[in-house]
Amino acid sequence: MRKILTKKTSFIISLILVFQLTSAFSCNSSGSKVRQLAKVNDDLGQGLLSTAEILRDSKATGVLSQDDIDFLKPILKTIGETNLSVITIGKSLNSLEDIPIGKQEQILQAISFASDQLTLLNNEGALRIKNQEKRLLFNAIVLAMQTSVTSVIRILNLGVKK
Amino acid sequence: MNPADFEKLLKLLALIQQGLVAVNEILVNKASQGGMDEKALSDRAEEHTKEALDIINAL
Repeated sequence: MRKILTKKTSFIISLILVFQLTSAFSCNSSGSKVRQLAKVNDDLGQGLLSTAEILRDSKATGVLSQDDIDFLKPILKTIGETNLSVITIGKSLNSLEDIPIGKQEQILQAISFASDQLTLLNNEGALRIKNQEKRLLFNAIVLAMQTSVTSVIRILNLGVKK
Repeated sequence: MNPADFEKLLKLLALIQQGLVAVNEILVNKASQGGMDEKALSDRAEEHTKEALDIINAL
């Protein structure tokens, strides 16, 4: 069984690496900052959808309990709602360099809140989930979300500094 | 292999399958970005995020 768990750990690590690779690739690609931001929003949307599907199946198969789901649910909702807010703001922009001060603050405030929620998940979530398998799955989800949020912050900073 | 280990193995295979589907979805999504403009990307991001929120709300 230990061999199986080791394979499972390797698989989850591979999943994280693939997600990070795809997210990092979007930041290095050419195109306007608005387009790069749209790509990261797209990555985060797909990542969140995949995460939601995994959680739904994990709940059905008993990998995660209702308590675990109840802990994750409001935080993932915050991430999704933040992504929707950033998408709405991004659609109204022609260039990140043209972002008005008010909208800059609005975007960064929303992203910072989402980032804080992920830090909370990372710190308290890991302590909360005692089961090793559940903790690995949980860490994979949090890391994937953190990667996307970090990408958004990086792109926003590039756009604002220029 | 005893029945308990077999059941664990089945659960593990189901989890691996789910993971592979997730990776596939992410890569297909990424591969299609090249031919899309900002609006199409934002529209798809919005659609996926809303779909994810629907699933999350139903959990």
